[in-house]
Amino acid sequence: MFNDFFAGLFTSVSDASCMDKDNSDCLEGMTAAASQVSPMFIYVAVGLTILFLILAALPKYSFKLGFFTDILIRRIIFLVGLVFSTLSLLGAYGASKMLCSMRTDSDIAWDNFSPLINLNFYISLVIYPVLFWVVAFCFDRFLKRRKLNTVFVSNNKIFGII
Amino acid sequence: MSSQSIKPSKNFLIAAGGTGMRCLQSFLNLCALGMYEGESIDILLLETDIENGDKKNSENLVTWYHTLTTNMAGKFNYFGPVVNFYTFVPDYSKDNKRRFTLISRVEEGDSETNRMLADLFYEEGVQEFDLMHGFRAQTHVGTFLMYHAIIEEIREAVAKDVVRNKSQLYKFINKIKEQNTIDEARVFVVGSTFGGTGASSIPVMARAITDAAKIITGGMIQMENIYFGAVILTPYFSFKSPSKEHKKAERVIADAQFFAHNSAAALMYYIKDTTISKTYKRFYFIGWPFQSLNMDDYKAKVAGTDGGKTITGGKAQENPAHPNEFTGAFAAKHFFEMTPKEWFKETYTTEVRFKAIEYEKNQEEKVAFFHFDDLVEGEPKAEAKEGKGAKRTLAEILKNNLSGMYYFSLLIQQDFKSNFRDFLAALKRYNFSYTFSDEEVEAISRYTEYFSFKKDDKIVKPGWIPQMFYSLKEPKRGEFLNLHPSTLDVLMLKGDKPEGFNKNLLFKETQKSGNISDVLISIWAKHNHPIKKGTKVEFFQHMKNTFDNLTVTNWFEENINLTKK
Repeated sequence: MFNDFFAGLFTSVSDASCMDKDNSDCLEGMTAAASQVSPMFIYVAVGLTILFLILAALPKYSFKLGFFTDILIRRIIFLVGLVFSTLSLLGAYGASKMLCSMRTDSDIAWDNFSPLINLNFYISLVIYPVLFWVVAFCFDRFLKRRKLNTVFVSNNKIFGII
Repeated sequence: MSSQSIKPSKNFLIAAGGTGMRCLQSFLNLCALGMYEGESIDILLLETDIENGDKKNSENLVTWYHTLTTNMAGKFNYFGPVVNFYTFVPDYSKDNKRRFTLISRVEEGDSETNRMLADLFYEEGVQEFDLMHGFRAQTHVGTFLMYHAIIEEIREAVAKDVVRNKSQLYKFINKIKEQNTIDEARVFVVGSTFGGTGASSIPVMARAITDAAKIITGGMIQMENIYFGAVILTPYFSFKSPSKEHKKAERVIADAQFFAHNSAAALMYYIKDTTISKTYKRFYFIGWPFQSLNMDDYKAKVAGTDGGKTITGGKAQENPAHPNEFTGAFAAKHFFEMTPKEWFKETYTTEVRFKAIEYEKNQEEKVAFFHFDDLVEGEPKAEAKEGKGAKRTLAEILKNNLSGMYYFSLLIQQDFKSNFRDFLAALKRYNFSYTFSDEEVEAISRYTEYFSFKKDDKIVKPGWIPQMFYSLKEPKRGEFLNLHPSTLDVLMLKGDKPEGFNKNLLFKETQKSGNISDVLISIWAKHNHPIKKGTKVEFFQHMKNTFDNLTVTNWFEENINLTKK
């Protein structure tokens, strides 16, 4: 999925013949490129969230007391996932900007192309923390599987602190 | 020890003597396991030996029970019912009460005639032995002294305000008297036929209580609403006979070789005596037709010492728990809760009940098979039935509650080194916070120790459940409640690197996983809602919910391929 995402990004941005929004001949190619790229942001964000949800669910409940507990491991996994997904999405966003800047119509390409992918990009940035929390909450509330929720609430406090 | 009467009870249990104390412990454990469905019960501890080790253990257990009680009876919750506790120990420490001759004032007045009369009933040794260690299996003098002690205490209490305020026996009998006028009072006595105090108390107890109540009311009372019952245990343990020197020094001493003889004589009396057959509605006779537990062998196994000299009583009289006592506790439950009121009204002579259990003949020896449904049968009362359409029998509920409490106790002792606070801290991390006072934490730590085992350095002292297992001579195939022997043989935990013991074999889920914490907390979290300031009531409910959702293994039935006889 990750490879497809970047491959699709490169090919679609590169394959678009022109990126002039005022030119109706360009509009179709540009929209096609955007429609190929922008959902991929969402898919990647969702995919990464699911992957890190599974990883976070792996550490077993433990009686072990002290600092390095299963909850801490789960939180580390969550944060690594957050950083990784954010960097991946920013990387992809930056790569499409770079690809636009390498085009012959680089002066207008990014300005015209970015509005078409911005919304999905910003949504994808919040998908990871929000989806992670929603899944953890629903598992806790409705399925009574409380492991994932300990990422956000432990000792009856938010992140075990507040 | 004082009682805290919170809820009036119609049920009254009297535990008499060393065997009675251990039956009392079984009954308190039955309450702790949530198997007593009434809201409260009044218990009288009756002992002549103030220093008796079994008495001390029973009192400790009552203290822990009081601290942990949740007042949530009727739904099989742990520590549900309220226990109102009373003690009566005739004081034989005073110089004028240490011997039969002193109490009966044989030497006063016409001493020669008095002595001749006393000699008609009791041999000289019996008249002169020190009563500080109880009646030493001398039931004929014991019954006389016990009746006398009860009546004397009540007379003094009626005459003097100071004694009345202090006397727990007076309060206990007064409550029976009050309950008699309100509705009905069921009085159940537990004790042995072969020892001293218990065997001496059972024959006179109904009469003594009736007479005491009449003294309190000045004879203005009809006692038709008081129903008496008793569990009578015949010998199930033995110890080595005292040496000639010891016999000579003590003059009168309990000798296990006469236990069967004592029992036979007592049973004959119980059956034939009309005073008994008119007062007691029911007797539960519990015998042990299997090889008796030898106390010296047990002590040698547990402590690595021989039994030493024969114990006449005192601190050293501390015998291991036996399944017979647990059966006795369930006999009390049967009398209190499973016998309809109408039956008492329609019954005029003593009914005798007994129960046979499965056994297998192994060469000359019989091996007892003890099942949960040997202890209790039937279904919960309609109001106590559990939700979600669950239809469990009482035996199944007992199986889960007992295994759960035992597993929990082992967990606290083995994994948390008796530190219950660490277990609470572990649960708190997962958003299950319970608030316990220091006293409650101490009570749980001690109770779990009592229930499972206590380890000091390399010495392991088996707790209540393992004691029953050792009393049956460590059955290896799950003969004891179908449980895996590796979950019961706590002596395997001796030493620095214990091997063989495995509590995870108690439940199918823990057996499969091997990761106790993951299984237990997963189920705890799944079947309970996170809580911020949970009390002990919520803790024990959550604990019950957790163990109700684990499956107890049936070790014998599932793993031993034998044809039972």
